[in-house]
Amino acid sequence: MTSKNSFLANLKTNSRRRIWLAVLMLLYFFFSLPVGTAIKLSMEKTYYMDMPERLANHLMAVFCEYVGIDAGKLFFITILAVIAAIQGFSYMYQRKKLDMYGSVPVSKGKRFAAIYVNGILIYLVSYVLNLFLSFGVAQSMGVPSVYAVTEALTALLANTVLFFAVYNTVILAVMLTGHILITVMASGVLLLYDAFIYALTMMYFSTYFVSYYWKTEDLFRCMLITPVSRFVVMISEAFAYTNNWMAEGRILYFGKIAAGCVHILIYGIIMLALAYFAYCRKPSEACGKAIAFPGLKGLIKVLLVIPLSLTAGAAFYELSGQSEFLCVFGLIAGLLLSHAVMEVCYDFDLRSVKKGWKSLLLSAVGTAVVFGVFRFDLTGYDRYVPEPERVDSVAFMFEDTYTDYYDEQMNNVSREVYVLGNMQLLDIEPVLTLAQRRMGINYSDSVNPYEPALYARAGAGAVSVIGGADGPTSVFLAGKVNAEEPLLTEETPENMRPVVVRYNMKNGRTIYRRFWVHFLNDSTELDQIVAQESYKKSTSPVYNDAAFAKADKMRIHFSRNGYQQTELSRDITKKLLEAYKRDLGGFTYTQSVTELVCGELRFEYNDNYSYAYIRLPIYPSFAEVRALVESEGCITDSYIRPEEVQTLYVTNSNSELRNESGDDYKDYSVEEEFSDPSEIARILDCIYPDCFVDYYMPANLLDSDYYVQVIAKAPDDSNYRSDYGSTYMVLRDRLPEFVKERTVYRGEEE
Amino acid sequence: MIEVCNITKSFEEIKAVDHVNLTIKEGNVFGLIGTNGAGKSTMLRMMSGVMKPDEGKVLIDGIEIFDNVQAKERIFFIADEPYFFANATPEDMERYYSSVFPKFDILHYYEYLEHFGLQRRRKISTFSKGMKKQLALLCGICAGTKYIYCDETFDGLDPVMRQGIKAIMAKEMDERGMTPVIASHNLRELEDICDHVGLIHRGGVLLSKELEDMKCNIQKVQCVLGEGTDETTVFQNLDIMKKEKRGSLYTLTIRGGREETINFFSSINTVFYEVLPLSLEEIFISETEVVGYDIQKLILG
Repeated sequence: MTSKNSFLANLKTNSRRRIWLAVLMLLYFFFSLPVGTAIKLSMEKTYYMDMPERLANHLMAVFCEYVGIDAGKLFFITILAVIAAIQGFSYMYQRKKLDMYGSVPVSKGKRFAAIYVNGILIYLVSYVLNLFLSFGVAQSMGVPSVYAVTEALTALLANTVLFFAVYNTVILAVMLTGHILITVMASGVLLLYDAFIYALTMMYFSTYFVSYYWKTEDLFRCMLITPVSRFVVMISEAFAYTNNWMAEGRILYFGKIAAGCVHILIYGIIMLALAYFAYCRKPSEACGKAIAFPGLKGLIKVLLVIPLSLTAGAAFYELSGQSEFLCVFGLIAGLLLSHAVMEVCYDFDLRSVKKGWKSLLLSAVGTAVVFGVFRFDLTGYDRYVPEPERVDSVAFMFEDTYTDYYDEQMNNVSREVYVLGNMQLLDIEPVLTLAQRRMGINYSDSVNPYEPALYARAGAGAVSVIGGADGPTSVFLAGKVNAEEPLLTEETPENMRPVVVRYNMKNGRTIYRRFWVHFLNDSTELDQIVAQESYKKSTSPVYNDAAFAKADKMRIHFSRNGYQQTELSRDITKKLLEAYKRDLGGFTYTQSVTELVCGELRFEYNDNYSYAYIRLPIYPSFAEVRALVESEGCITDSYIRPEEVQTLYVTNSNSELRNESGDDYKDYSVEEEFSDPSEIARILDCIYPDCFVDYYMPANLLDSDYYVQVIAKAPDDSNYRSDYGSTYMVLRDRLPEFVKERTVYRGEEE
Repeated sequence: MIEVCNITKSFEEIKAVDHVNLTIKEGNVFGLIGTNGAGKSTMLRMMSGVMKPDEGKVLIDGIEIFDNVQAKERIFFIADEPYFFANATPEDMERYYSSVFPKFDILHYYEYLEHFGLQRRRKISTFSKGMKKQLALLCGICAGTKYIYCDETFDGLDPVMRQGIKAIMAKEMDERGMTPVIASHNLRELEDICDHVGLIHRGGVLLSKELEDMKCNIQKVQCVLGEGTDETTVFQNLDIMKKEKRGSLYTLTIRGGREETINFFSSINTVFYEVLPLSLEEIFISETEVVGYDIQKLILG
């Protein structure tokens, strides 16, 4: 009883010393919760004034989101926890305070407990009080706030766990240091060291390893253990399910938050134990010194100097346009500078820069080893091809094609998750053969996989001569690639395709690698890979049975150029999907690179929670699908027919002139209008809708200098989506001479 | 009783206190004298449990002080620079101290405040340095602890206030047996208040004695030797700490009792001799000089 009373007395006495902290916290939560709620709801009310029927639901959703978990609060709660921890134990920074507190008859443990609990209580009372107020504000503004209770309590729990862990971490920093400035720096280190090391590791991987793939980051996420980093990971993982209001989605959402909170809580408890341990052992003479425990000085220095040197090296490398010399200079400069700064911080004396040669030597060796591992690939990362008997299955993905994928709730799923997560190729031999042949060769410097059309080379004669200038265009029917064309068989960046391989190892490990394959020369292995059922099922959305279970609620369109689309009858959906699967089943990799897409199916799903837009490309050899679509009155043998065109504009950017002049900002482009039907017919013979560029197109097949704007005649039926023009790219070496002549740049008078 | 048992404290390479043994009996006023940097404050900080000795221990009535509430309830430490909470008033300090010291005498505290003209609701930050020291002393005296440690606390107090505080201390000693331990290098200040002194030098205790004993055991003698008396032969039996000669006049600082000294000089051939009283300052200088301390470096009050 006595003990409890004296603890409460200590608590009461301590709270008198912390009034300004309480005021700070109350002010923050007051403005961020009740005041923020009032402002936010008022704003939303104004926006939705014209939609009274949706207003109540919208305001409720806004309020739920506002009092729920929010990345924005992360920063402020972290700052508050830092302030609370440092302020609570600030008496340890001044000798006269320490003399008073240390000599009065209060046990160290009780003093720690009183200060510690007070900090948490001040936070909690401020938060809960203002949370109640914000619910009152919402209720008074007509929002049924009771529905936000779950969100608010979840946020309260998560934010409190975050506060708890950050608070404990900073208390540890206070105990390890004896000067407030050093404590602030140490708090930064303890809170962000993992994120720093993680970012540095990823930077070195991406800089020095050609076969590095960004998904590898996921495998390294376990490095992120501190509360702030883990909170960010928790939010990013949970927010993937934010819009999924189905029961399963909610479970996943709250499950991710619960898992994150447990992690942060455990980390916080460990920090608290370490902080208390250090508190009990912290000598009073540490007051005013940089580091309370001299034995830790060397270790801390080495742990900071190595990554700082590596960062300096990487920064110099990038800033100098990848100069090896300047990289090494950066490493050495970073090493000496960071070591000197640490020594100066330790002693608060500039003359200390010369001290600590042993730790400098150790840091130099550590830096050299880490740098050497990456620079010279000492671990063989870029040459790694697993032994076949250790691989369970493989996933293989082209990085230069784009498809949207959805889960059963029609929420968008990333390509990496959908394709690499679902694909399990059991015939691994072709993948390993390609990996052995292609690993470690970098083509990325000259090719941006996201903009293949922009990297076309001049002088190519790659497109098969098909169709004719005197009739409707059917360029894609005869294919797009002339396999004999030397330009296409060269091992040049334009002909390489970036691919990602995920090895699912028998021991449960997952390994990602990235390399480039030649779009034609490697077609033997690529045909074998693409022919596998698992490949087709995990790359084409047509096999997404869970999504197509909602097909009766989807609108189906056919589009041959992206701008005109024809709605198809829902009655043929099932037949269409089956036909597509059959056509795709026999479709080879070689066909996919030698045929031009002639249209696409678009399945549109929209309900209150999700919007999905599934696209399936149609190739000329998809006979069954084309027949079905044509039976609905659609045209599948041309992108647009001459008689549908009112006029078209061809723009030539004349890039060679810009390159010659060296003036990147001068505009040499020339736009020319063509209205003559015969001219239109000839131009239409060489265009390709830019909306189909998501489907693979070898860079050499397009002439990036030109683009064509087609203005269709006034719509005569409702199938026209808009009366705006559509944009097309131009197939290389097919553009008629009269177009080239009329779009040549002729000087300023043009 | 306070027992300092073989304590040692080092700050990196500097040994601030080196194997010190000391006993402070109840009811005495103990003066801790030392040169600057001798280790007085470090000693007091260890004796009050603020600092942990590297070796040895400090016992307060047989209980080790470090992180021990029971022992700390018996001491009050007034540091050389007393700390008061930010924006606190004497009233706030009373609230704090009365919450941690169970025997804090609130009634006397406010009486003393009034007596010394310290306003109870005035911010301490507006007090002069001397007023702050007075307040710290009053807090310490009223805390009701058996021992009170004062680190250079009387420095900065005007003579009237000093006498006032000393009177209160004497009263408290008389009424409840309070034992003050006063560290200072101001020897004149300690001379009229201490009845036991510990002399600290370079982290060690040179001597710890009753003041009277100390005064009695060191004598200052001025003498002129008779004609034909050999200085070396005459003085060889004396424990001379210091010797000065001006013309034929010798001034000697000698270890030994007064009677014994008088007897000695009356037995030898002298023209004139006189045994003079020694001030504490002179004893201090003599003792430190014996161990090779440069007197010029002393800072005397």
